[in-house]
Amino acid sequence: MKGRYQIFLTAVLLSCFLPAHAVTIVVSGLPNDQLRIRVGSTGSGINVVTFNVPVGQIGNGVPITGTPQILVRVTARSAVANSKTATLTANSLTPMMSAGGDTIPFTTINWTTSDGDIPAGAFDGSNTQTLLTFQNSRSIENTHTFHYSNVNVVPTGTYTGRVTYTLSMP
Amino acid sequence: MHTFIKLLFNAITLAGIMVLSPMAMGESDQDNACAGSCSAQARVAFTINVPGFLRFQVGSLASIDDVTFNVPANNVGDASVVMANIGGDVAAGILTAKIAGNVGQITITETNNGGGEGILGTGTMMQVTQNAIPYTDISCSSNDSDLVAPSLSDSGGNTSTPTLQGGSGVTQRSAEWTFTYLNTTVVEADTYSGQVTYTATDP
Repeated sequence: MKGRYQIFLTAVLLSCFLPAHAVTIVVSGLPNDQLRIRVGSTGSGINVVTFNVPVGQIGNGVPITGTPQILVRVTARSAVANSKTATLTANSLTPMMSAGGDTIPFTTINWTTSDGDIPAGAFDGSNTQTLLTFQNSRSIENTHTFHYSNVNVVPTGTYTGRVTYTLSMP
Repeated sequence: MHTFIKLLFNAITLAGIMVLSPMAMGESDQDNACAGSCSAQARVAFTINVPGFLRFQVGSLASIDDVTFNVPANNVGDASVVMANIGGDVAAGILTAKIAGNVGQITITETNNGGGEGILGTGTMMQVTQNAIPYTDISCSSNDSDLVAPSLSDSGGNTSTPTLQGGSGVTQRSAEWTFTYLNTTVVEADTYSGQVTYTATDP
């Protein structure tokens, strides 16, 4: 019995010194294409960018910077690199509204970016504003700082609204 | 013989604040297995807090304008309108009027320091009663019908309402108010002085 273990151990040790052979690895089950988008900080829920207009500056044209800054990260992957174009759009059609029914259009909101990969711009108040196009497979992210143009005197109130970012790929 | 009338005008500015605050989390989405067209969505919310305010200006920003009418001796009480000689930030007798607010219909109310007697003289002629000129003898016209001054009165309390912007709760008007002395009454030779205060209020 002891001899059989010695033979087995010797064979195992010898196998460690044998020359390596080429290996082909096959991983199956990856999805066809993949899109990912994140707007805001890590975690569930919707980030809220808040602008507080000082009482002495209402409608004086001095922009109001909102907080917090918002991370926008988009990823588009496909099986063959550069085979598809992903498009990031924004829907800002529905204006911000107060409890009294007064509205502020999203055309009053613009943004600057940390490095311009997703260009700076302003919402156009439409539901199909293109912000970015890029070839797969890439991941792009920017931190956006939003500003309220503050050019009009508007009725007092708290105005709320949402913009939906959509990443799509044919 | 000359009659001097001096009017002083005040501007009153009022303001108010309303503030709310936000929250913070992010939203993400992914489309993992799109063989054909695919998309993913994420949203961000915006909140703009706009406080209530009311701004009102009549005449100079930093001082009370002193509008003075010098009545020619030959015209005392003959109902010939007398233009101001001095006083006013735009020209003699002409004052800037500006009003802005965002909380609803604004009302402008006139009051004065005449104790209901009018524009008071100095009383140097030993009158039994205080000599005075009624405030109704002072006219104020505006070059913008959306921002007119309330008619002046001895007792005060007359009002005017600037036109709101487009049916909203916002007012943003600017005009020039021109003051004249109507000179309808022969009054004792004297210098008559009074101070009018316009007060703007909102709901």
